[in-house]
Amino acid sequence: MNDEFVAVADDLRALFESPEMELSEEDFASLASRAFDFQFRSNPTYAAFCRGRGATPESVESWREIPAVPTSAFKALPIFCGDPSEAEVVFRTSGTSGGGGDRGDHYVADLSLYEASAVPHFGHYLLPDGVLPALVALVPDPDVLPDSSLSHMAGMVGRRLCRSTTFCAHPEHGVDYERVEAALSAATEQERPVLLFGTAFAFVHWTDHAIASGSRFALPRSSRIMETGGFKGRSREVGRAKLYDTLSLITNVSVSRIVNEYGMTEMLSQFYEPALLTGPPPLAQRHHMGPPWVRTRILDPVDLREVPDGEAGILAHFDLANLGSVCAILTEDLGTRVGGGFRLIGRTPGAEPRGCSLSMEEFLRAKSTA
Amino acid sequence: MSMFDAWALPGRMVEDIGGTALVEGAPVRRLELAVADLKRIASGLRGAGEHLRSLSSVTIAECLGAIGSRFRDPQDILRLEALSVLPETSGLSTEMAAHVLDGMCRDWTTEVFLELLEREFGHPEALDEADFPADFAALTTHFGSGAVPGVTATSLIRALLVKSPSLVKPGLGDVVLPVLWARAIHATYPSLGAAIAVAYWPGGDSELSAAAIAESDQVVVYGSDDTVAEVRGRMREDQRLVVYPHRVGLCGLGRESIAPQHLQLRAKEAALAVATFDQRGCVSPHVIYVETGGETSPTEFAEALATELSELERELPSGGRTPEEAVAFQQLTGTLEMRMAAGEDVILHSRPGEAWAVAFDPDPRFIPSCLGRFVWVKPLGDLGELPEVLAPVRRHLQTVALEFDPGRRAGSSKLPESRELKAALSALGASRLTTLLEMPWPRAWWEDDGHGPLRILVGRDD
Repeated sequence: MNDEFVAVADDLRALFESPEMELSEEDFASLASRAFDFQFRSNPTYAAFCRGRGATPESVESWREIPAVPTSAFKALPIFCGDPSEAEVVFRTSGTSGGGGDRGDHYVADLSLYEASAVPHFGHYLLPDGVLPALVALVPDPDVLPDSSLSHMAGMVGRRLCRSTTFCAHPEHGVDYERVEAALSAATEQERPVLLFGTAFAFVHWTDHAIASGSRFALPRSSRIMETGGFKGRSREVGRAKLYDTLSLITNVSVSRIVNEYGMTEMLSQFYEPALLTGPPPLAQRHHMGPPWVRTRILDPVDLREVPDGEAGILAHFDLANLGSVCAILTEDLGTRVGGGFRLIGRTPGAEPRGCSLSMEEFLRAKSTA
Repeated sequence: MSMFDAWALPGRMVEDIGGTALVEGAPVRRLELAVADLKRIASGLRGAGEHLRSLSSVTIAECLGAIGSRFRDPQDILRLEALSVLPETSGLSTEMAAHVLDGMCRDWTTEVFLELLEREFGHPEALDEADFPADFAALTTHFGSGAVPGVTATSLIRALLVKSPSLVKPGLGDVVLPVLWARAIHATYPSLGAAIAVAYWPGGDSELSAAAIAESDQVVVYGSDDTVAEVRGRMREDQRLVVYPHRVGLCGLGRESIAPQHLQLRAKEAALAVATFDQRGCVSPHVIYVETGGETSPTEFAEALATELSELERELPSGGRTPEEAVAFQQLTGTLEMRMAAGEDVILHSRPGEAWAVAFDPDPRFIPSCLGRFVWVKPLGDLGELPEVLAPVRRHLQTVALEFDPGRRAGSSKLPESRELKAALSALGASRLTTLLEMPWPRAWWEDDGHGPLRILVGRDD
C-alpha cells in the first residue's frame, strides 16, 4: 500500500493501541477526513460513487456527509483502495444470510491494523477483569478457514489474550461436540476460567446435542461466553433468551456473563454489549457499544437522513479500521440509539410480511436449498 | 381514524367472547379469542352447512353479486367504509387503495360468479345436483395473505360458491374486505351469513391457528413456503389443503411492441403493472424482459418506464415501504450505484428518497426485485429464450405478461410460433399468460397455481 495509507494507518494503529479508549469528536473528524481523502483518491469506483451523490473531499463538511456503501455491494465487486491482488487477506461472508452462494468479499490491506483494532477492544469488553482464560472456540481454525474473519479474530484473541486456544469446528463437518466437551471438561478440572466463543448457530447445534446427551459442565465462576450472529428474521429476544438460558444451564455460566458481539465481514471493527463492564439489564434492554474509532448513525430507511434519538432506522457505521476498503458502511440492520451505542431491532413481534409476491429473502433461501 | 373491529361473527356468537384487544401498530381491534371460542364458532358454522348446501347456486351467486355491487357504488356506505380504512391497514395510498378495490370488485358480480361456476363445473347449477361428484367441505378455514386487499375476500367468496361454511383468518394487511363482506352478508342474508365467520388473530398465535386447522375439513392458505409448511405440518390425512404460495410475475416484450409509436403506451402499461399493489401482488412483475434488435433498445425502454413510474407517482402514489423493504431497496440501489461507478453496463433510474426504481441490467438471469416499485429491465435476443432464462425460477413462476406480434414470430429463430412459446412457459409452471394491461387483474376463473379455483375446493383438481 502507498505512503498515504501507511501514514494514516500508523496514526490509527497508535489510536487503537492506546489504553485510553477515547477519541474526541474533533480528532475523529480529522481522522475520518484523512481516511475519506485517501479512499476517494485510491479507489476510483468509490470516488465515482461519491461524486454521483455529490460528495468529494473538498465538498463534504462533516464525516456524516460521506456516502456509505451498502454491505451488499461487497458481493458485487471488489472494494479496495488499490490493486485487490495486493490485499493481505480476503475475508468472505459465510453466504448463509444471502443464500445461493452469493458471498461478499472484504479485501484487507493490512492484517496488523485489523489486529490492532480488534484485540484491545475485545479485551475491554470480554476480559475487563484481566483474566487469562482458556479459549474454546466453536469456529474453525483460521489455518483451515483463512477467509473467515471470525476464525481470524478467534485466533488473534487466543494468541494475545488467552492461556490456550482450542478450535472446535470444521468448515465441512460443523461443530466437533466431543472436542468442545473435552476442552470444557479439562478447563473445569484445572479450575481455569473459560472463554466460550461461537456463533448463535453453532451454539444452538451444540446445546441441542448437549441437552440430548445430558452433558453438563460446572465452569469456573469467572468463565464467560461470547456469542455472535443472531436470529435474523425472527424475534431476537425470544430466540436469544432461550439460547442463553440453555447455555447457562449446560455450562453454569450466568446469563449475565454472556456477551453478544455484533459485527460483519465487511467491517473490521466490532460492537459488544457492555454486560461485563456495567452489569447487564434484561436481554431486551441490552445495547451494543463500539470502539472510539467507529461512529454509528441511525438513518431513515427511505431518505437516509439521520433520525432523531429514539427513532428506529438503518445502522450506518463509519469505521476507521476499514481504511483499506471503505469506512462508511450502510448495513441491513435496524436499530435505535441508546446512550453511546445502539440497540438492534429484529422483526417487530407479530409483524406479518406484506403481500403474496415472493420476497428476495425467500427466493435466495429457496435457491440455496435447491 | 377510529378503530376497525377485525371480526364478523354470525348471530350472537360475539357475545360469548371474552373481550377485545388492540393490535400493535395498526388502528385495529381484535377479539381475544380462546381455543374454546374457536371450537364453538366452528361448530356453529358446521351447523349452518346443511342450509347452505340447500341454497341454489344461483341464489348464492345473486346474494354475493348484490354485496359485490355495493363495493362498486360510490355512495354506498360499505364502499365508503372500506376506502376509509384500507389505506391504514394495507399500507397502500388512498388513491391506490381505491384503484385496487375497483380492480378487485370488477369480478364481484352475479354474472361473473355464474360464469365461474359454469367454467368450473359445466353449468352454473351443477353443484345443486344431488349426484354431482363433489367432495363438499363441511368447514373451510382460510388463512389470508398479507397486504393485497381483496385476495382473502375472494377466497371466502369461492368457498361460498361451493357451499362450504368458512372461518376466515385474514392477514392484518387484508383484514378490511373480508370483514366487511361478512358483515354485509350477516346483515342482509342472515341464513347465508350463518355459515361465515371472520376473525383476525396475530399470526404468531399458533395455538389458535392449530385449533382452527384441527376443526376444519379443508384449509386454504396464502403465504410463504414457511407458512405453508407450518400449516401442512398440522394437517391430518383426512383433511384437504389448498395452497397459494408466494409467486413471481414477469413480462416479456417483443421488439415490435415497443416500437416508437407504441413505446409510451407500453411503458405506461408496464408502470401500472409494477405500481399496482405497490408491487406486492403475486401478479406483480419483478423483471421485464425486452427484446433487442428493434427500433427501441431495452435501455431506452427502461428510461421510458422510469418516466412513466415517476408520472404515476402523482396519480397513484406509493404507500411507502416497510422498514425491511426500505432496507432492501437501499441495499439494492446503492449496490447498483457502485456497479455503475465501477463501469458496469447497469443503469439505475432512481434518486435517493425516490418511491420507485428501474434498473437496467444486461445480465439476463432472473433476479427478484426487492419490491416496493423496484423493477429490473433485462435484454433478450429473442422472446423464445424466455423458457431457458426462467428455468431456474420455475418453482416460483406464475404470471407472465407477453406483448408481441404473433405474426412476426414466424421469422424468429427460436420458438417461432407464439403457441410454442406459451406452451413452453406453461410447461415451466407459468399458470397465467396474459397481457401487460391485464397483468394486475386476473379474471375470476384463472387457474392460480394451475388449479381450478372452485374445483380444487371440492376435491376436483383434475
